[in-house]
Amino acid sequence: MNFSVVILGAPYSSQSAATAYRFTEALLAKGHSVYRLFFYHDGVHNGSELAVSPQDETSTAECWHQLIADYQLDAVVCIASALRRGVLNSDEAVRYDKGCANLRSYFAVVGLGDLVEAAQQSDRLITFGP
Amino acid sequence: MTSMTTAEAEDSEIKGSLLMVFRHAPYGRSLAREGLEVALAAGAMGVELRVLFINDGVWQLLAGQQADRLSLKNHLAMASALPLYGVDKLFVDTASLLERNIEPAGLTIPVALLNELEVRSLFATDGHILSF
Repeated sequence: MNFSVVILGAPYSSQSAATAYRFTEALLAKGHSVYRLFFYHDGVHNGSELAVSPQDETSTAECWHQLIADYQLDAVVCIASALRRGVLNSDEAVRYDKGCANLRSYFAVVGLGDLVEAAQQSDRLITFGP
Repeated sequence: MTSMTTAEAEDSEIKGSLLMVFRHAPYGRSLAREGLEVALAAGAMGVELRVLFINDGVWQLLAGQQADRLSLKNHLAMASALPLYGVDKLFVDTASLLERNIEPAGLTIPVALLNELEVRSLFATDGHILSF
């Protein structure tokens, strides 16, 4: 089955993003496919490269990083949510004259149309609240 | 097996309509606003969309919101734009209104009031649900 997952929670602040990660990991392990991971609302913080976790703690952002790389998943952040929360790729950093960018390179920056399209293209659309 | 026409093949790739469920109050956190933005985007794309206001989400429809006191944009003004974006299937869970002592007359946007069974069937019949 073809899934899209909507992640609304920031890493660490709540369990939500970690649960979304575990769900995604489980469905891939079962042989299902992921059409898109859509990071929206506080979920865009999962895309930040600057988060640092203590060595004896699991980093949800790092877990995403591995999973997305291993399965070559389509991982995107909503541009409106990301800009408001200071999660920028290098293009946006230049556009808004910011000194640095922090969005991991494999995250695409997209509009809400990509969420609607993901809903239309997926057998299942699963939302993990903030 | 009969072969599909191009139009049929395209139809088969579209997985049903969208039900958006708004469960949170309009202010205090940005979730309600960002949910509304999804509904407006989906409406602009011509998606078959239904919106259900339930639990604290019913506060979003209340008249007399003074968002300027919070230095925020008025949520109701934005929600009022839904029909302009082609999103006119708006539903409210009546029990949520009663629990909060909100008179249906206090709602400013045309909405259909649903009882518990109708809310259940709304959830049961829809393929995709986005909850905010």
